[in-house]
Amino acid sequence: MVKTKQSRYLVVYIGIFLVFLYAPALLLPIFSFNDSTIVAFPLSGFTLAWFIEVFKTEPLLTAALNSLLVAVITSVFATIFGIFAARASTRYQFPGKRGIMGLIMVPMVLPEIIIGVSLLVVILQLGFNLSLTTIILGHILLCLPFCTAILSAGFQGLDKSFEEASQDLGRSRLETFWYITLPLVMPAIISSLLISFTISLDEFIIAFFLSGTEATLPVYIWGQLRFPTRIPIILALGTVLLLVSLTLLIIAEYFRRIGARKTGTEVKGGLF
Amino acid sequence: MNQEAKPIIRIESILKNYGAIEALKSISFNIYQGEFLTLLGPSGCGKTTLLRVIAGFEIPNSGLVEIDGNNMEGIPANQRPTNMVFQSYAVFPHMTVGENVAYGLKARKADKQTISEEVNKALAMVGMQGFNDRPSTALSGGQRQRVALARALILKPKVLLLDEPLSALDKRLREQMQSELRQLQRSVGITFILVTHDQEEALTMSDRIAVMFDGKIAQLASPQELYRRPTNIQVANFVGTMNFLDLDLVALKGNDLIVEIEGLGKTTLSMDQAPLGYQSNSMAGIRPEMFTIITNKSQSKTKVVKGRIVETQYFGDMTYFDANLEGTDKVVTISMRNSDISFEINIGNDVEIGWNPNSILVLS
Repeated sequence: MVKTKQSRYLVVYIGIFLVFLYAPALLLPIFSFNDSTIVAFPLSGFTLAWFIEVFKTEPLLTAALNSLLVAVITSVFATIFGIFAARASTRYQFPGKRGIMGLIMVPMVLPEIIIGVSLLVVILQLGFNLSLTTIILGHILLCLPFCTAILSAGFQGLDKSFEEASQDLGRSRLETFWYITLPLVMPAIISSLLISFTISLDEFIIAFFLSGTEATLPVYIWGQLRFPTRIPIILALGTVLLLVSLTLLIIAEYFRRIGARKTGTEVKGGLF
Repeated sequence: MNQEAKPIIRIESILKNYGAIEALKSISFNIYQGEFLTLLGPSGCGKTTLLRVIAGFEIPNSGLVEIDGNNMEGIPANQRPTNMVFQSYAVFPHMTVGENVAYGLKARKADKQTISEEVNKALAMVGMQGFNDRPSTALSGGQRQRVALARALILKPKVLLLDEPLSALDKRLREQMQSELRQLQRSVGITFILVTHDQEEALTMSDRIAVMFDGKIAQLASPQELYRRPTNIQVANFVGTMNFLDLDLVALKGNDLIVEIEGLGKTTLSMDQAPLGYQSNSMAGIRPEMFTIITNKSQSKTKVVKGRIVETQYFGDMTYFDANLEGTDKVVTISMRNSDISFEINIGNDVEIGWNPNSILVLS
């Protein structure tokens, strides 16, 4: 590329953009190692105490366990429903298909606070108690559009003749789904599981409205912000969560690309 | 082909609609044991749909498909004694070559020993012995084709269905695979049904060809018969090159047709030369090689007309000439073996063109 004046401006623009995007997130790990309860520069010293404290705080661990439980169950169910929706939308023609697929995708653009409030009203009206189950239901609703989008891409890249060839060679439809379809879309399935897991793990608004006495991690963190001395612990926790989320997203993208290569489609779109 | 033999496939009045589109319009014919039959036609003529009806991937709206004496109605693709080679080959990308070939036998729950022996035999049959552990994503187009063939033939189907299997290959590989496929078919003795839009491929490989247009079979005949005696203009145009000249009926005397042909003049033809009889819109058809440019007085042809060369196309062994017939604006194509031409023929030359009334067909 020829270096022109414009391209230098472009580099500066990208630099500023990236700083705004990532600098705040980088402050989190920096202060989590800072030997002071006050979150401000200058740094006073290096310590791992906050991380140790994280693993000693009982309610925090309980909240983390709740979050894990919610995220695992959510990702499994959202992915299963996503498989149904993606399969239906890519293989079959049925009346009202566009409308139905559109409705599935709506929670992606709907403000979460609206989903949270309306689900709260409905659940209370129906006379259910708020619990981890209600959070899971809310999270499945929220994750389904993401799972459907990822899985649709996976199913779309799958040549129909693979399934026909399998049936032609003597396998039933169900066996074909098991031996041919699932392995070929497995990268998309793994990617869907990981992304919905990540979304559920750090989702706050819906969890806040729908949690009863059992809090998830983000809800617990929000509660702790009232106590200034607890803030470094939260920062340390945030650092751990940041690492976990990033790792999961990278793994998800890795599998999506493998899948695209396997089915011979061009690697495009996706979250990265 | 012994037409008295019991057909391996019987197709009767097959109708297939997609909404308002009629893909197959009441198709009936028989396919015999051990024959290499080709469904030939332009894209959209219904040839692939017909193949998929036989395989069980499409359910006809009405009609009967019988394979080896059994009615196939309600029998899904995985229980039919047919196997298919797909246009895209559909070699499973997440399996090795060996696993691909073994796939059908595993579905039949064959024991490991048998599977491994049969896989080796099938791979040897298509010239790919030793490829068992190769990942199938690392294969070339020709190799994928062979794996797809081995994978289908290992199940010893009563009928092998091939959906445009050669269209993705380059010209040289395609010609090589044509002769290999033909040899393979002879050696295994399995009935092959090939779908193609390539008339040359159909002529070189088939025992019989069903030419399809617009959801119907226009003609079902051997390659020789199809080329020498196409029954209508559409078939004659699709298979090889044919000159068409206007035709006027002068008189009909018993078995003789006395006609006036544009540019060739008055002549007598036999009723046998009109496969479907004379109709008011009939034309005279004559193949390019049935015309001769007379370069040597001793060459004798029954009839001679004069013409002027307007175009030449040189092909090494052959030359194709376009000649304007004297007294008309009609241009006909003439093909000559270059070894039969004793002097140079250039654009603008006036030449004498020999032809024989026997080589005329009356087509509509």
